[in-house]
Amino acid sequence: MTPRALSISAQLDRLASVRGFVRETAADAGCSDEVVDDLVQAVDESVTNVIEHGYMGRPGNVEVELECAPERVTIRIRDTAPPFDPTEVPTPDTTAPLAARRLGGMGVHLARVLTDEMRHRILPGGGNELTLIKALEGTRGGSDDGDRR
Amino acid sequence: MEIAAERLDDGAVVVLTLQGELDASNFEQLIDAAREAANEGARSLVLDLAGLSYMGSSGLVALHSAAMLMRGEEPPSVESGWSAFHQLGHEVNAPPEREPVTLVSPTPAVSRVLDRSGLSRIFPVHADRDAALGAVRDGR
Repeated sequence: MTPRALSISAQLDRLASVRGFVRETAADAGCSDEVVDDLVQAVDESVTNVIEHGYMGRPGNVEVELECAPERVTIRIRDTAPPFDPTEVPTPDTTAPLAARRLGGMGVHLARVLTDEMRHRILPGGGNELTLIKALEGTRGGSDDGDRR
Repeated sequence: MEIAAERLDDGAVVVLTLQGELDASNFEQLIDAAREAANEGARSLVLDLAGLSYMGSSGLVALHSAAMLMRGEEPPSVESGWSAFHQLGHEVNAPPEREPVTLVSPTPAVSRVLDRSGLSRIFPVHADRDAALGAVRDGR
């Protein structure tokens, strides 16, 4: 399937349109409801991080590209922000009591556990590209009876 | 996202009903609603999540902040920067107490976020509002 892409300005009020784009594209490709939910969340968290930690309030754009193949969905998130590599963010302790937890820091963890692979690279002309890959093995049914779980 | 507040037990308990999607663009609305409840004397917050179709990790920050507010603590403001958020958290040796935020009927998508972040083990989750209110009033 030809990749589909959406470009937004780096503003938090555009996150809903990103989620809508991912939801529609992944559902059109036949992903199960749970896979769609996972992809929506992984992208929402990653784009939120680009806006908050990459651009840090400065203007810019974020491009989200989805490529759906029978065995995997590949997502590329590109920006022109200063380098921000979420793969270096430490994994939080999800068993800690509330008082021992940092406030926040869970977004990268969610994007990581909801996908199978997360890669970051600095683009040749500057900016970041985050690649998220989710394997679809065993999650795609051949029937079209509406029950896609 | 829409938030409706209902004061019960002379304001000691406040039920917030959330509708829509909770993300980084609007999570401060929930913190503000919790702060308003705390300022009016609430010490327990019940969050009805049946109408919440999406919760990003910012929503988890809002839940954490709401619990602090119910205990009379002030969470750092977003204006003070994300570094302040991330610096919070310290070593604790005391066993965890019952958190003053109770969750009601989260949708499957929201349940998965709570599970994956470990917060479903911290905040009591009930299937309906009556069960949640019963548990809050009994101190369970």
